[in-house]
Amino acid sequence: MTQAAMTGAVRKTPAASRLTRQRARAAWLFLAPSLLVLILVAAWPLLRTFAYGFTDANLADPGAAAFIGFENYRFLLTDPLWWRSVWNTVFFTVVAVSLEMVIGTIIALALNAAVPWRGGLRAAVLIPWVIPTVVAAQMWGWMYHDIHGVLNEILVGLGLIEAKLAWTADPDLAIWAVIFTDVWKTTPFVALLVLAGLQMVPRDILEAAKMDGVSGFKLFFGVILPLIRSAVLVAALFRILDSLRIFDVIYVLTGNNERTMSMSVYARQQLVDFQDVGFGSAATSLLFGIVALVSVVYLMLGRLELMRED
Amino acid sequence: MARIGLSQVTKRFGGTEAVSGLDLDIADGEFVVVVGPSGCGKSTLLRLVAGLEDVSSGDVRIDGQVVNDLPPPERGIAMVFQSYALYPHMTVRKNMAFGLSQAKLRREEIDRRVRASATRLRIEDLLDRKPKSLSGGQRQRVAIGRAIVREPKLFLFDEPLSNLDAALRVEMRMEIAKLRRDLNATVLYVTHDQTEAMTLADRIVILNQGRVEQVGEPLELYRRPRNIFVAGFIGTPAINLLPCTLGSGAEGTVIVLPGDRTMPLPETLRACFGAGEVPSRITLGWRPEAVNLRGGTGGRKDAITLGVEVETVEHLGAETFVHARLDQRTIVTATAGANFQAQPGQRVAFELPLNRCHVFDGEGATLHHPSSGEEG
Ligand SMILES: Nc1ncnc2c1ncn2[C@@H]1O[C@H](COP(=O)(O)OP(=O)(O)OP(=O)(O)O)[C@@H](O)[C@H]1O
Ligand SMILES: [Mg+2]
Repeated sequence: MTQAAMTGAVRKTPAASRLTRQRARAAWLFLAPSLLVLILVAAWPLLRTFAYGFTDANLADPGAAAFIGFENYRFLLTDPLWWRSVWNTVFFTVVAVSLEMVIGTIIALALNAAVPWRGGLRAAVLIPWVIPTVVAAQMWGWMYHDIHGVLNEILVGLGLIEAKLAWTADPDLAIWAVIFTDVWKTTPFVALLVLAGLQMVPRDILEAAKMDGVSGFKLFFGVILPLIRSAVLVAALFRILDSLRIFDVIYVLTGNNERTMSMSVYARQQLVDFQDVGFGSAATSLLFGIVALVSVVYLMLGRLELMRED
Repeated sequence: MARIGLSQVTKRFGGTEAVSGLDLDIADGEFVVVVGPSGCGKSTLLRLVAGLEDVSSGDVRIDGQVVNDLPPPERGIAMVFQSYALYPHMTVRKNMAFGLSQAKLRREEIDRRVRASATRLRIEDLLDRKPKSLSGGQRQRVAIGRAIVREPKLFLFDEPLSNLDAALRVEMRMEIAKLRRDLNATVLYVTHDQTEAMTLADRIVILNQGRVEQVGEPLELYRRPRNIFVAGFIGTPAINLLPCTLGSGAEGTVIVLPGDRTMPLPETLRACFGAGEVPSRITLGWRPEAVNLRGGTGGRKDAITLGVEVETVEHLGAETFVHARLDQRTIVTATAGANFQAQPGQRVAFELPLNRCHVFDGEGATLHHPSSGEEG
């Protein structure tokens, strides 16, 4: 407590409200620097992006932009490539996040069980997560390589495939190569969050279940999952938001390939390759809107679910 | 109902032995309470019986059958946890029925049992509530209800009342006693609370560092403790223990009390050693209610009278505890009447009657306790 707050409390001045106001002022004071930084690095660029979305700005000369209203958005919503990238992103998100949640939870359950070398295993599982995404993607790019890649080498060697496959170039395979890499990379994150949830489960409740003769699937779905629900929901939310913005894995592995292009890759192509700042900004703004909408809906559903619980 | 037999049961966690070579037999329908200092292995003992831990060596028997390798649900045991351990996402009804549905009981049978035990515990109105919205006492009832519906052969309780406030604890204590009479079940019950132990138990087990110090009926432990540990553990306020040394003086054997007070060894004490040699160190013990308060000095011949300085006086209403200092290290407590008055610092005399004295040898084993007629 601050000196001022203390004397306020001791003197019992007419108001707890005065004390409250003092505290609120102090809180704002402490928050101010970070708010300022946030405004500078987040809010300002965001607003600029929104603004550019309504212009025909060009990367060569952004100053010479003219206001064109909703023209960019009209074109965007009629561009099949945009819809293709939306579909790719949604497909990627649903498949990758589902896999990550399931595998991550299984890994967390395994790590939470009393296995020998648990500490070491936990650290080892985290390795893919700590490798920078671009590095990981490039690494997998080499492994996927159709001629020199180790993956083809192994699969052909084992006789699982007849001829070497172009993992990242084949239109049907590329998205799966991307999904696999993302799952490899981010499952540890999910596992860690779920593990944190599992460690909060009271031992007594698990033992009560044991005395009740509950085990296996019934134990997991009937007792454990409801108890770690919030950890799972948070992990899923993080993963969904990340996946909707997915860029680096896809761009490094497959470039501007239409079959794997995500919304972010689309926006980058417009902005950088085609120098169309206005249009790219419109695409980015829409992406932002979608991500924001998804998180709001998700949080609201989670809230409703929690209220139903009570 | 079930008979429980533990023989040479040992449980090791890494290097530490939580339970060491423990023998205990519990008769059909008996209520056995386990007490002991924190970390002495009470919970571990319970968990070994429940099957939540495996024994390192020794045998656990239920009705004569060794159950070392039997998983918990097959042992026919129900356990009530200190933390209640209710499933937070299930209603009270579901909490109670969960284990039964797992045991593949018929729907109507589950319903019947849940309703019956809810009625018995007066929680019928709570059946559709979640644990979160229940008070501590209500949660405890639900936890007990969850144990009852399984109609187990044996109930295990691990400090079930320690999270409740004093009034509720008394109420639940009486309820458990009644429940136990109605169900006629075998119970193994762990507690920190001496009153619980003394009032509920047919027999009390005193555990210390994984070993049994003594097993016996509550009053027997109180009156005839086998050693200094048991004497010190049972009874509140605790027994007064005076470490003394024995030596030989001009007029035969002398005893040196705390505070370096030397006196000839009274004949009554001498008799404790029988024909054997007189030990060099002994400890004398008096229960607070055995200590008499004296206005003056100069006491009776069959008592040791100590001059002490009052430290604190605790008025409990019906009686008064007087804690007084004998010397730097020794505080002696006496029970006085409700109206006793004294100021801290005041000097008073405590009279310790020899016929109510417990005598322990240098190792802490009991040499003599007062005959129960005199104690009572
Ligand atoms: N799972 C475990 N791993 C390692 N040591 C353990 C484990 N469980 C108990 N112990 C140790 O065994 C000893 C007995 O523990 P236990 O829980 O049985 O004590 P307790 O008598 O129930 O204590 P309290 O009165 O505090 O509940 C303690 O020293 C404890 O540290
Ligand atoms: Mg315990």
